[in-house]
Amino acid sequence: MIEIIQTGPFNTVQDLGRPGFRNIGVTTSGAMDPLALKVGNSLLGNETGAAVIEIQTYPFKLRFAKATAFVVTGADCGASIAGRPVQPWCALPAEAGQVLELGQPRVGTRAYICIAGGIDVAAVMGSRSTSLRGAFGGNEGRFLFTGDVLQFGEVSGPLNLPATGIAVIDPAYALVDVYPAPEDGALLVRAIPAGEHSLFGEDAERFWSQTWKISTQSDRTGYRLMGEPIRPTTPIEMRSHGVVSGVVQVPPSGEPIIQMADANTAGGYPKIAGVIEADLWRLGQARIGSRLRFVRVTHAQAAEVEKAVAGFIDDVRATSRMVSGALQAMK
Amino acid sequence: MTRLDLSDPAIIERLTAVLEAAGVEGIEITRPDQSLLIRLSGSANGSASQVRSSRADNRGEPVVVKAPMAGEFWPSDLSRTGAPGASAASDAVGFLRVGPILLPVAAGSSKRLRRHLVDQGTIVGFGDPIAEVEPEV
Amino acid sequence: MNASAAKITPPANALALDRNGARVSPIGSRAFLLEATGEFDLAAQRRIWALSRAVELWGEILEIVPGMTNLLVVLKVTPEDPEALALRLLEAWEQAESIDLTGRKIEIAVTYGGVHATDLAALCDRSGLSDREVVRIHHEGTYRVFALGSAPGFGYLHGLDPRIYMPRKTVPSLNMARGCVTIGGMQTGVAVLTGPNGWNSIGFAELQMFDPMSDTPAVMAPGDTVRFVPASIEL
Repeated sequence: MIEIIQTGPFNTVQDLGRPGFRNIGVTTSGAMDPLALKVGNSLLGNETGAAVIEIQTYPFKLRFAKATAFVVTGADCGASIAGRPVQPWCALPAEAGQVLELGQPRVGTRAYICIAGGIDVAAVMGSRSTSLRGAFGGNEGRFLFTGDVLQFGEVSGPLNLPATGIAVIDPAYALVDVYPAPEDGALLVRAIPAGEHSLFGEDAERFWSQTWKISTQSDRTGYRLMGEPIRPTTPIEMRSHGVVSGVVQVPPSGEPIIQMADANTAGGYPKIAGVIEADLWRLGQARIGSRLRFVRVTHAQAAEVEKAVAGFIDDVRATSRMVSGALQAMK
Repeated sequence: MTRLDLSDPAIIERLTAVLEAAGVEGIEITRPDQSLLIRLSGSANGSASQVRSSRADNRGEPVVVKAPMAGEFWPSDLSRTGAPGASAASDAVGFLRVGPILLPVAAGSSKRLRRHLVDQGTIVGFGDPIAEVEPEV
Repeated sequence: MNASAAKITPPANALALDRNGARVSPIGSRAFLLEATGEFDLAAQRRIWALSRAVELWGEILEIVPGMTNLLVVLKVTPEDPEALALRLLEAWEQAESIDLTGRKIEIAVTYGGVHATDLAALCDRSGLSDREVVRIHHEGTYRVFALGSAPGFGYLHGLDPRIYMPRKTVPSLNMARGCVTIGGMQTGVAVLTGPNGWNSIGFAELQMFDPMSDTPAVMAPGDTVRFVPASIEL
């Protein structure tokens, strides 16, 4: 059991989301940085998609009411447990009564507190994710309040953690071959041209070549971008169709919107591109006010990145088990 | 039996020669008054031995931290050095990297690192000395 | 690990296949949209329903989302050969026989006019009809649920009389109540969430359209027939 001692708004329980219900208008939701969630759970020996706490506003404090193990992944927010600094992405044992504290992020924007056994809230429509818009799922369909108490589940094969913990190297370092470094401070976001791309004429090239800024009107629903507007050569009236997170739509203002985890399930704005699945987590960690540039890729390239990421997550699970086993054997 | 002075260069030289002949990577001798650590680092420039010897003095003997398992030695989390202001735990004297996993090595009770005994990137085995920390006051 | 994905080699052309009245284009790496390019009518929607039934059995599908004469398919993993997938979708479209979903008949009791009918006056101005005529035309219609989407349980209803078509508002109402009976362009529906809404409200219905704890969370399903029954008319 954990108790929330201090929290800002919009911190929620999330898992990998609620797929399969877009056809009845239900947003997928789920972690904005699914890689951080998967790595955290894999490190703890949880199911890969176990529910965690997504922190977007700081400071955040919780107290462990009983002994367990935890890891804070995603943004590096100078976490501490019982007053001692915590290595980023390092799974540690927690004793009953200890307080975990997260400060303002130094790198990234969303932190994930993963706990052995996962956050045990009732699954609604197959998922423990909070749907803020639908007001269901997660903890009573809302963001966390100070004083909230959350249970965590049982772990089938708990990991024996040394007192100093077991950490994961930065995924950006491990996956440097498939994730290009920022260019001139701009995050490179890989995308594939979408249905209405050709209707933008010469503006389509300006979509790819210019650097966009993430506006303050950006949240789990979507990111509004600021830059030189782009417009279709003739106005188009679309029939409503299903959309997925990562779709880059261009409303009449000409400034694109990237739909994110809590996006509407249907849309009708012309779409110029779609961000590849494997790059959505990097967007989830991009700060408001930061800059990005879209890089055109093929499906084959996207599939290659996806495989590398999946391999990394499997490697984290297998190697952390092995390391934990070796430490036990050599005691 | 006369006690050897472990800081005597002649003794160290003789021990080093024996280790080289035996193909042993290192030796550690600890006595209440003195301790000696010899490591042969097999480096490319031929200067094969690295000798560290210290006599018990009023600062107290350093405590040697050994590798709890095999891995690649990292003095700090090198994967995050590029990140501005990345945080780090204060009580680790270094890390052992195994694939995607980074195992922090505890400094022990004193938590004060005196020096690392191996270079960044060195592959160490279980029990290999990797750092000296200040003894507990 | 291969470094080639980090290198930038733009594909020569965007993938968009257009054939026999349908077009397939990607949305990101895992989703593909098939759009019927003909009329916006029940015949096209019936083929979309048939296509949905065929495609949802494919092993690589994570979910399918039927829209208004279109179908979005979301795959479990990114395909190496998107063109092959697009061609399979187009083949399935060509083979899709029109089916009619034998949906339920749903009657929704509506309070027409009143405090929630914030856009009735604007609709009268635009159509040149009186408020009584607008209400009569709306409740005399028989509607089909073409698709669900946008918000949990929201049904896009087809069958609105063209005399009361009303474009979506350029400035949405910021806090329209759940239950408002609305018109958006050539479609009508009942708001399922309280919040910003660009459709035009002409009345209010008490019926809860969505219950996440139910085995069938959405009251409406594609193919259902909907009639609006005036519970009261407050003009």
